[in-house]
Amino acid sequence: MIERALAFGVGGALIGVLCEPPAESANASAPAVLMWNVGIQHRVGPYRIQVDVARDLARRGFASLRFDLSGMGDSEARHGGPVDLQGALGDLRDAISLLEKRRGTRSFVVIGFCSSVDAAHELAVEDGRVVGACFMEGYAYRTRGYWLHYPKRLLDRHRWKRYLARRLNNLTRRRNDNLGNPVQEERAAMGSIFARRYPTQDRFAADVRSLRQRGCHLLFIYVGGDSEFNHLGQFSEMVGSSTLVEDIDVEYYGEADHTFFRVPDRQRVVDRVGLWMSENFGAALTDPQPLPATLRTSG
Amino acid sequence: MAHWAFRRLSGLLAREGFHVLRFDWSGTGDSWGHTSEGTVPIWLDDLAAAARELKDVTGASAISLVGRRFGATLAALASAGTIEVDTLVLWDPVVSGRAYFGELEDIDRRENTRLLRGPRLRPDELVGFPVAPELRRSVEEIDLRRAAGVRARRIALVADQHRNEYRELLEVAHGTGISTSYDHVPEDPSVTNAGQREAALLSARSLTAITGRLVGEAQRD
Repeated sequence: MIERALAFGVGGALIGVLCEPPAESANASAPAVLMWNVGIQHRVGPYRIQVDVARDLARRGFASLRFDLSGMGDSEARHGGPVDLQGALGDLRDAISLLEKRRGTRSFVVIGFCSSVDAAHELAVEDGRVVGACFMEGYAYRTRGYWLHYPKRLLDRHRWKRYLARRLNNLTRRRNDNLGNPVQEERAAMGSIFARRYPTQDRFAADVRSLRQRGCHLLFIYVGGDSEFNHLGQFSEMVGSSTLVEDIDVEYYGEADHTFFRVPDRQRVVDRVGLWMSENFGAALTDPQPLPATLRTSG
Repeated sequence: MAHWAFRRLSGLLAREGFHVLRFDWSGTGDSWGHTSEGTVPIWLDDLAAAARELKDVTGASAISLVGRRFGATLAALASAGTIEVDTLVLWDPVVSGRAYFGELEDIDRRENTRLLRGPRLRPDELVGFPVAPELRRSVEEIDLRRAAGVRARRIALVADQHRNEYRELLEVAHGTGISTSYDHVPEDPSVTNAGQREAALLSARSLTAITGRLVGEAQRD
């Protein structure tokens, strides 16, 4: 594969890395994949996961651009422009223009992760060139099923074990993190993650329906632990239809955490995204090359 | 956060007239290779290649190195090789590789208590990244106080907290005829958690201190 650093957008203010498969394995008509900042991290993402995704996709014949939004990572701030959702959408359109001009790409897949889901969702809904969208730890809504599963948290020995371990840790360190009970603690931890403004559940459901009607392929990945999503069936409740979900890929990794801290959890995501791309946008022209053994341990 | 700190630092230095090249070590950031493939010799080669590239592109005759934590350690080790270093800026350097791994293991244990199905400490992972046994061995063997051949016109050590090992390191360097300086740039004492520490790293205090030191040395020359 080939990776190139590129400057694009107005005045070359945006910086990204284009990762392309070797010419012999490139799937010329395949969509290109876009990834950008997760939270305040630069384009590589938590624990470099977006680099791993990009390189796995290249092995499967797909090109990708991972880049920094205006004012983040290596990209310059937009002069006078908003550093918000609209600004991010403008940057995404610049990224699409770059790939259209440079590679002749006509269709795109967006991968949103946590906060970058906001722009991924909006762009997917409004731009017909987006033919696929992957949302990792994206929007979740507390449904009836969520509350029915909720009490399981209080019966989870791991949750109590963690609470006690943290309590002990903080006592020995003489720190005060305002620990309450395990549930309060996890909600405090979730605060920064879920502080964003979500679309209403009705709008989310309508958007998902409209994306599927348009033929846009969708992959949702949720984790357990401190997530607002606590069982696989929650998604069909969120969109109000079990039939609709039959056309959508939804994964629930109950053992993983929000940032995919553990290497096997991260590798599971990389593999799943790659497989989803191959299944929906053309099988890989070459078998993905094996990764180092340290990444091949099971989770 | 190191990425953002170095981006800001490079901007400050460029405004003072310095050519700056910042790069990711092999197997990290955007650079080639998987995280598990990084080794100390490869990273030292990376630094030598970066120094050559900077000289080729800019025509610069003198190279200064600025590294933070283990990046500072690698910069010091690289100075013993082919790079002729003017000022070696060691920002919170890792002096003892063994102690560094101890610190990382502490962080790893804390991170694992954050996870619900943990702790499940794995010998081949540390703070979210795969760590090959060979890398661990080679890092643990490093002690900058005993490193042979560290060469530079001057060493500027910038640290957020006083450590005996920093004093010892500067004494060793001074003993070999290298001019040394020490800037203590303390963090806000109210900083107690990781988020605040990240914010502190984003603060301009250390960056301004490093820039001021390099500008001052350049003017003195």
